[in-house]
Amino acid sequence: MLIWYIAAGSALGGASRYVIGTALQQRFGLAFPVGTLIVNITGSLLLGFLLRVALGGNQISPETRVFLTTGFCGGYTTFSTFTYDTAVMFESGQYRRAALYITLSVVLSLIATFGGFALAQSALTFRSRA
Amino acid sequence: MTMRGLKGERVLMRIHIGERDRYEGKPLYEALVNLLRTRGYAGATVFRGVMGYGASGRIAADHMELLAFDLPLVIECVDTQEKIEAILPEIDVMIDAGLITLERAKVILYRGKRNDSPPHTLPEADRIDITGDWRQHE
Repeated sequence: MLIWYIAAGSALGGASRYVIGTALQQRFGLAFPVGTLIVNITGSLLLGFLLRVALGGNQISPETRVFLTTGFCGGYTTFSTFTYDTAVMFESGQYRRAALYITLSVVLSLIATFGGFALAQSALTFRSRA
Repeated sequence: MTMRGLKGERVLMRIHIGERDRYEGKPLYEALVNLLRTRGYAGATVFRGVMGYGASGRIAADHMELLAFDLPLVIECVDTQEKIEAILPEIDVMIDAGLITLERAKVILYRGKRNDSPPHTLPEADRIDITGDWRQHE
């Protein structure tokens, strides 16, 4: 049952987000939701990498793949927290900050996803040479 | 349980704790209010803060999801100095991390709900009372 692999991955991903995200946010304070931003960027990099590696070769089983992608990355990254924090910024009249947060989140996460693709390409090339 | 005659020089106790603090499996603020109520204290009110930090230095804020896990709470209770002092040892063992302050308070009105609708014809004992030396403490 794939769903149990997804459930386990989500639990691990969500817990990782809590630990990493809150640690970063405590460090950076209240000015900007840095914790969620970094979690979303790193999660995007990881998902881009994992999916390309998993689909570029057949070494990863579907169970491991969904555990890592839909499960872990799904639990680790968060769109709802991004929209919540942004909505609160809008609500309190911080339009510039909200626009910056939206731009940084989308653009940097996309760049990270492409970065993941590039890393996966390198890994697959290295593997095929070895 | 209803208490009368609270007006006059009293003590305001403010207890600062976190939303996640617990006592015997229950939220600490609930345990504290229950304790005060069952002991017949005049009243208690719990406030939730939108932002704050305490002795640990960890910040909590409700406008950022990652910081909204343990928002600050303040429990206020006003009663006589004797009663406030009497409850402190019990509260002391219930609170893990927090802050308690005591300050003088002049109670000018303390009454329960009435059955008639306003404007009320109040007995003298229930009326707002600003007599006494409270201005000297300003």
